Amino acid sequence: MEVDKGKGEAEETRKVAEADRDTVTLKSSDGKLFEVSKEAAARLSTVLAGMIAGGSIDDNGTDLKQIGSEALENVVDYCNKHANSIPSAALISSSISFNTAPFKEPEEWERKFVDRLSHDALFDLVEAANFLGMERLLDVTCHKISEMMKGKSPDQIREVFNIKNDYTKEELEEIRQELAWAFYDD
Amino acid sequence: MDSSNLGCGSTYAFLPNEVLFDILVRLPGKDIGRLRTICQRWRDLTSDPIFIKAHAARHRDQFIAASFRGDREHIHVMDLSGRVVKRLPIRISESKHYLLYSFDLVGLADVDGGCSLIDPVAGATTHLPKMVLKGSTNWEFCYDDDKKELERCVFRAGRVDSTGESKVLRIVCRAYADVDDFDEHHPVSSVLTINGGDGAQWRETRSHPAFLVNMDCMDGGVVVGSTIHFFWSRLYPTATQMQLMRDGVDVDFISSFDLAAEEWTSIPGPRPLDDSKLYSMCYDSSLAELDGYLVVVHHGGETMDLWFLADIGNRLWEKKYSICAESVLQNEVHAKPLLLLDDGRIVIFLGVKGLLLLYDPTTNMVSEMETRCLGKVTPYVGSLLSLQSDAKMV
Repeated sequence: MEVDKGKGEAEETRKVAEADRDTVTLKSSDGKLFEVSKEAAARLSTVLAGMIAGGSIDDNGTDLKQIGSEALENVVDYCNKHANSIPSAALISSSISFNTAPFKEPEEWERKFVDRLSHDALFDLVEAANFLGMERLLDVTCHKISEMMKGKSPDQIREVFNIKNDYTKEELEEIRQELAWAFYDD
Repeated sequence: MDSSNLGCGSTYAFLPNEVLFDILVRLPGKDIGRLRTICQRWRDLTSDPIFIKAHAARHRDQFIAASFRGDREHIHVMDLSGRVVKRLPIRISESKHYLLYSFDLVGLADVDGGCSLIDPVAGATTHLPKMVLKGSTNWEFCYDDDKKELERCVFRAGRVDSTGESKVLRIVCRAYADVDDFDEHHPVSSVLTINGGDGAQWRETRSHPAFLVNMDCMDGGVVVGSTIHFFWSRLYPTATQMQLMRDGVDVDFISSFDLAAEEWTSIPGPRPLDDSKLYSMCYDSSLAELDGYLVVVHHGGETMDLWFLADIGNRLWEKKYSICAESVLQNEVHAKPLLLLDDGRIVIFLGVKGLLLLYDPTTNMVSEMETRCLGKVTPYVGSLLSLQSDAKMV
């Protein structure tokens, strides 16, 4: 009886502790677990905020099958860094694409955060940010990728982005003529 | 999209459309143009009207629309290095005077008082109803005594910001009304709303300019927002008015027409600190629009001073620039600031030489922009992409 009671109390205590936990555990597609501040996750990701509010967070690790461990590590790293930096009001009310809001310049630490990433890691991160509805991180990563494109020739961009030119020679010639205004100093 | 087109299984090309949109919409219009040659998917995405609209909302690039001297068949839009980024066909016969209200609106005046508007983007011409003039419509000022009995008129087009309507203002007055016969030959104004059809009619305005305004084709009538401002004609001020000004009385010498209310008002111009400059302020100045402000451009010999109407309610003028470039500005009575650039420099048009200058206020240096000899010029601020989507290069 006593043992059972003790066990019951321990169970109770554990549950309370879990409800009060200030972190959530996320699981990558390859099964790795990451802990992230609940407050930061809810603030920075609309998808995680919905899951936390809807109680669909799994204490043993919420499955994020679309995100690999490297990208998830970067997401978590970003959230934790963000939790430690002062949140600006602009981040909360902002919205993405198909609108006319001006872009918010990345802050210095955010710039450094994406600058250290390889191309692969950056592209995986932008997809993860899109999947998790992380507006601010999406802004920062899209900004970085657009910076990478500036001043590059179409050939260089095809190489960096690994895109195959699907125009015929004739089509390309026609398009080039239509787009003469974009190529006048070549 | 077929994955076999994407090369060696790279994840990059699979970026969802909304992410690619977010990345590309940040790039300048010219870069987007080049990227359309990358692959069909990128071209389709960046040619979509939604993309073009989102791009236009985020990129306010600065251009100059101009006609080249001797070429009455094209309007060119140039970037700030003088390169033509768009060329629009137009045909202006030698017998007509014309003005560029904007790159997509050209006003044409016949010698007999007719006026038409051309939209070179849509390739459309609107003929405005004619009025019978005594004499000819001469937009240029000429000092020919024989023309004293003739009438002249000026047309200016503008847009009412609140409704988006375009209107044309017309002022008719005697060719050389001087002060003695001003009361008899008061300028008469009419306005017309462009409705896209042929039924538009001139309506005489309730009020008229309180004094003879400068109807010169270069300097007469400057549009700021929904208001067209005119400096007084240099034929107008009398010795009495000059004396009043010297005595510290504010004399109105800018007459403004509000296109929305269709009413005229007048306001005094800036008062130079040094009274000895009063005379030249009244006679050697013209109007311009910069950065949304009405500007009095005072050609004071060695310098060209730019006075901004900083507070229209309190009629507060502020001298923001004093451009010291006597050698360049010499004999350029029509030197006119056109555009305040994002980096703080000012584009100045020299109407006599037909060239553009870039003035840098931090160094007080001017440099010449490399262009062909220019006829008429007007600034264009907007997205290169929406400019290009209006019509193909011809």
